[in-house]
Amino acid sequence: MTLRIVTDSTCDLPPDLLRDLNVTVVPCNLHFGTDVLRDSVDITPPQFYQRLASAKALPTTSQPSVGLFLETYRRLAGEATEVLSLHISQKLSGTHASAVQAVAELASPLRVQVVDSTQVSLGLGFLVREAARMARDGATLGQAHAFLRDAIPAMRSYVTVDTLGYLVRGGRASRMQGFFAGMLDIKPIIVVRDGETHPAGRVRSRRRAMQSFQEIAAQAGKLRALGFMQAACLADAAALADSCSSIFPRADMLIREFTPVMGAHLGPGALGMALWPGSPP
Amino acid sequence: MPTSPQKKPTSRAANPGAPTLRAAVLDAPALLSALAAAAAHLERHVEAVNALNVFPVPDGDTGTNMSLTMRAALEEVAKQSPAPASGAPPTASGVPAHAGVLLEGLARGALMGARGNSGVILSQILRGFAKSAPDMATLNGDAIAAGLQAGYDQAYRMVPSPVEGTILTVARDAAAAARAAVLGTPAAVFDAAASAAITSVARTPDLLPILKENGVVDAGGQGFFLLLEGMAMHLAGRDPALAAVTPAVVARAYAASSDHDAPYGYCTEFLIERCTVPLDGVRVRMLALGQSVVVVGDDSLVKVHLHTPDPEVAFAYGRSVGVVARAKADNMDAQHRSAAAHHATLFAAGCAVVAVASGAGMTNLFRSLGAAAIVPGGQTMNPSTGDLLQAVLDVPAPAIFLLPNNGNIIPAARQVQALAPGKQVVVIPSRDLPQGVAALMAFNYEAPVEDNGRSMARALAQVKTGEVTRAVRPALLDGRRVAQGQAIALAGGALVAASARLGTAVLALLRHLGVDEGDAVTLYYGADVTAAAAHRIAGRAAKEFPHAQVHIVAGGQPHYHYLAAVE
Repeated sequence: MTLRIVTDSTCDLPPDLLRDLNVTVVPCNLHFGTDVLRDSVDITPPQFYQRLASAKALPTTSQPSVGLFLETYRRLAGEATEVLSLHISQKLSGTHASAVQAVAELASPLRVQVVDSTQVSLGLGFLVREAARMARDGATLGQAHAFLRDAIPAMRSYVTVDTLGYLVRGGRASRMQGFFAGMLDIKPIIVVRDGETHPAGRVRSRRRAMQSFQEIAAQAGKLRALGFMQAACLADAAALADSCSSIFPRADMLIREFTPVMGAHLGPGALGMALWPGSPP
Repeated sequence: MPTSPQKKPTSRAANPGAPTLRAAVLDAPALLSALAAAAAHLERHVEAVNALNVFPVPDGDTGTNMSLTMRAALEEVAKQSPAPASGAPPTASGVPAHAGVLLEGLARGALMGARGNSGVILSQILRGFAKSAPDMATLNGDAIAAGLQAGYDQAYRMVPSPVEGTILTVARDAAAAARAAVLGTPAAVFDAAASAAITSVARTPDLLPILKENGVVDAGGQGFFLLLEGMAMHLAGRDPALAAVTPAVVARAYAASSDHDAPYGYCTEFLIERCTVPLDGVRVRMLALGQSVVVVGDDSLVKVHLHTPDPEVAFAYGRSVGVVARAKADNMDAQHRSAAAHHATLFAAGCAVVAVASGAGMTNLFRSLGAAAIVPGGQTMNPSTGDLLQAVLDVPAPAIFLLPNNGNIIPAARQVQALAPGKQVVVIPSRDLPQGVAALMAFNYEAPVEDNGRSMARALAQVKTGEVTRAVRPALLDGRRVAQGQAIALAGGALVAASARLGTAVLALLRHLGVDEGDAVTLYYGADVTAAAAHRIAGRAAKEFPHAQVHIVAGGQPHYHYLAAVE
């Protein structure tokens, strides 16, 4: 019995960690006009923000194709008996649906379980990392799945954007909201829980948004892991991590860059925080 | 032989033979025509009462508010259905033949139509009066005196911190005089009340220093006196011109003036099949297009409901994210009542905000921050309790936060709390538009009512606000003489600075409010200010407070050249 973990490019885990834990990453797609690029494969975050600055039209994104999942599972069938395919919230992306479709068409003895993480970015990443560690240590699909059933509902991630412009273009905020947010320097704070984005507050200025993040983390009680995500604003993420490290000296902390597909929706300057409540193991 | 200075009830009667003068009781038609005469009497003096406002900025318009409240009361009686529950038969004209029923209708109309502080107090006086005489077919002097006293008691209980030298003092003195004259006819009782009222009005400057400083009497008290005087004169048969004003005329006049309602547009509904956007995405887009937005469903099927002036825009959006089915748009002017009942069933749970605002920029800002409905109004146009109630009922959420955004509108907003059955109405007592903005920023439509109430109240307390305008008349304010046309800065209702120049007043206001490092300073410039002028002043503010962020917004609000917030 060999269990392997599959995820998608929105998990935002470091490539060497993914390699070490034998995690297969299926990339989402980024479209610049007619150019289709594989997320974090054909384009790195620094290249992405450079191209974004000069792009005439904003990029769009799409889920990995059913065929790509099918290809991935078939390849794994040669080296594993079980696959746990853990993905970005199905309410926010069609990635989960593509994977489910691929499993339906997979005529193979390989057992594949597709799981909705109900999360994004490191909220997904922490779950992937833990499931991969369990797989490495010999856990079965059933054991890993049972762990996820308990861990998923507790996970939270928060995002603030520097400009509402990208959310406006994506239809998640109105033009009017974008206009006044710019004028009044309003920074929305969005929480991802139960698979969906919910409003978690609005503050005036970036500085207060970062203060709010710190307060949210401080009120979370014990934390098993704490992640910070940034889109071309490493200094802010580092400052936030620094201010939180004194509150949670023992928590496992990670600072990562948002993958380009996430960056396309949030825009440069987006700052994120993933909280995994619980005691460090 | 010296004559007694004591007031003789009949001494003012020009026509001692008038039948009402000697009538021992008032029946409903007589009471109604007396009230109509009183309302007309007040209306003819509206400008004089408005002019008594002591603030050097257009304030509340006490006379207008009281007059509109009386009109609403009479209008309610005029449209009252002919057969009341008490079984009293209607008269030929449709007016209830039962004085108690008539008073009940008046009180209900006044409650719904109450505008401003003084209008709300007047509506409470009428309510107290009505409650004291529910089963009286006619009123004698005794009942009238008891009614005036009950009216005062009711109003006094309602005001959170009663101030002497206002309409309350006048109502108390009038009721006391009426009780001393109980054995008289209704005309005599009203005459005694009116005489005591004008004496009391004359005394208000001694009780309220700001009145004395400005050499005026209390506007609300004066308005109440005019109503009592109108009753007394009419019952004494002294002014045939007044007696000619029938309630029907008043009702018509009111109907003609009530066309100010904001258009409701189209009640628009459609389904989106195979929607590619999450519900939240659809919801925010719909909120930008209209009001009363409800978006429910799941990935496979989304149901959208909204009120918008342009349904095609909503449908086009639906087609861009999925397949639109069962689209319909009904003109709501014909059927907005049934539509309101309809959303109530659609809407599951949640909180919404109803805000009072004026000025295009301010209205858009409140809408963009998530206010579900905007009631037009402000400093000189206080919306009525009924206007606020209608907006609260139209928004299909079980819990509504009301942002009055003006000190004069807070009392009417508080009235709504008791009038919206099945709804939880929470008044966040915002005294100006920037306070309302700060409170609304803290609102989260997904959060529980208690959490929202707490965080909105906290946000309100944390923002420091003030305003700059030009004095419309010379005044003595907080011991300082303000010349007409001078730019004045006010914070918490107190004069902070006066200057020939708006910019100087704005900067003095900011210094008074106190700007700390990292603060956000927001200047909302009004309808009378150009963008260039606002940018110049903002530039000066940014230079003086280099460690704060200065933002300017085209608020477009009337009266106030600048509204300022520091947070």
